[in-house]
Amino acid sequence: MINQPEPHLKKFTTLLIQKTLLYGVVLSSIFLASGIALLLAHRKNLVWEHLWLFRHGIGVEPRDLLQWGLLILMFTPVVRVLMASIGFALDKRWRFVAVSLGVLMILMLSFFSNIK
Amino acid sequence: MSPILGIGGGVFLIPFLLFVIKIPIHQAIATSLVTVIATSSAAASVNVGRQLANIPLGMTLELTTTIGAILGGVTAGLLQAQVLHLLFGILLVIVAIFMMLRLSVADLPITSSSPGALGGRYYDPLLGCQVSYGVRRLPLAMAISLLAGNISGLLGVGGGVIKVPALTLICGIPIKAATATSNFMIGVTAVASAFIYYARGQVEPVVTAATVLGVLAGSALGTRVLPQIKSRWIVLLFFIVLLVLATEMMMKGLKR
Repeated sequence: MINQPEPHLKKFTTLLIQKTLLYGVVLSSIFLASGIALLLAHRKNLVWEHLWLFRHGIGVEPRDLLQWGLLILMFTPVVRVLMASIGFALDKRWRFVAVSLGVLMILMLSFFSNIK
Repeated sequence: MSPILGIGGGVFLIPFLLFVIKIPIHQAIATSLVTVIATSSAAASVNVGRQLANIPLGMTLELTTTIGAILGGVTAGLLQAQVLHLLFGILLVIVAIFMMLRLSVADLPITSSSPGALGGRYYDPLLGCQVSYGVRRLPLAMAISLLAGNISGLLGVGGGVIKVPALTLICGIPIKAATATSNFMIGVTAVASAFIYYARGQVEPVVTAATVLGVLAGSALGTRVLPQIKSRWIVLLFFIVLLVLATEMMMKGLKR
């Protein structure tokens, strides 16, 4: 597909959503890959000096990195919804601001209400 | 395999996690949901940039699909593993049939119409023209999104197998825009129920992290390699694989 402006969406909103998704996936992948690498190094007794420093100097355990990576990944779509609502507000498309905030509210309910 | 088969990876990933890695089905569903978030976000970042995903329509349908996903996630917690195996087996049969039908959906003619408030417009280089489309029967599409979200939360799949045909056949959206919009929505659908599985302690960090990284690498490789493979044969091969997996799952579900 060749880039063409959509009739109802400004470039800034699109860019905001696109970058949120991209950076979210990249950042979480870095955390997850680091966690897995540290875990493997630990299991195979390959804890080199710099890994030791990383683990003990900063106090980060491999499982912490994995948890952070997973949380960043899970919150990426949530932040994407927030960014969409900001983008729609800047476009003065209030109907979609309301829709985005509605979706955000449902997601927050799912996270904070501790539904099991 | 997702781009060529037109389905998400969950239908293959969950049987793999169950039969090869041998983790319980609730954990497999949770792992699959987190993986869906990763693949959907990665693909959507590209599709949004290409102006293919219809963001206003996707956001509107997310209102019902997230509610459905939460209900699905809660229901899964109440069901026994055997019931989930049986339901997943039935889902695999449905997915196999949809996968074959998708070829004919892709052949539907594209009709140009005014975009309206929810429609969109994109340039299709294959057709050599600008495609403009409106959105029909939104309330029905929202009801189907609720169902798709429910299945996603219950069985850990993206739900694209329902959303894409619904967007194409009910709303009248061209298949390329429908696929991109469905993919855009899937991440938010998955996260709505993933939080519930996370609260239940069913997201196992090591297995999930390894799966996410593997699937992201696989999808990046797949988009380069798969276009060179004849799709019709792959669809047929995976149709058979899905039916075999469906039989396995249903037998596991029926076992006492």
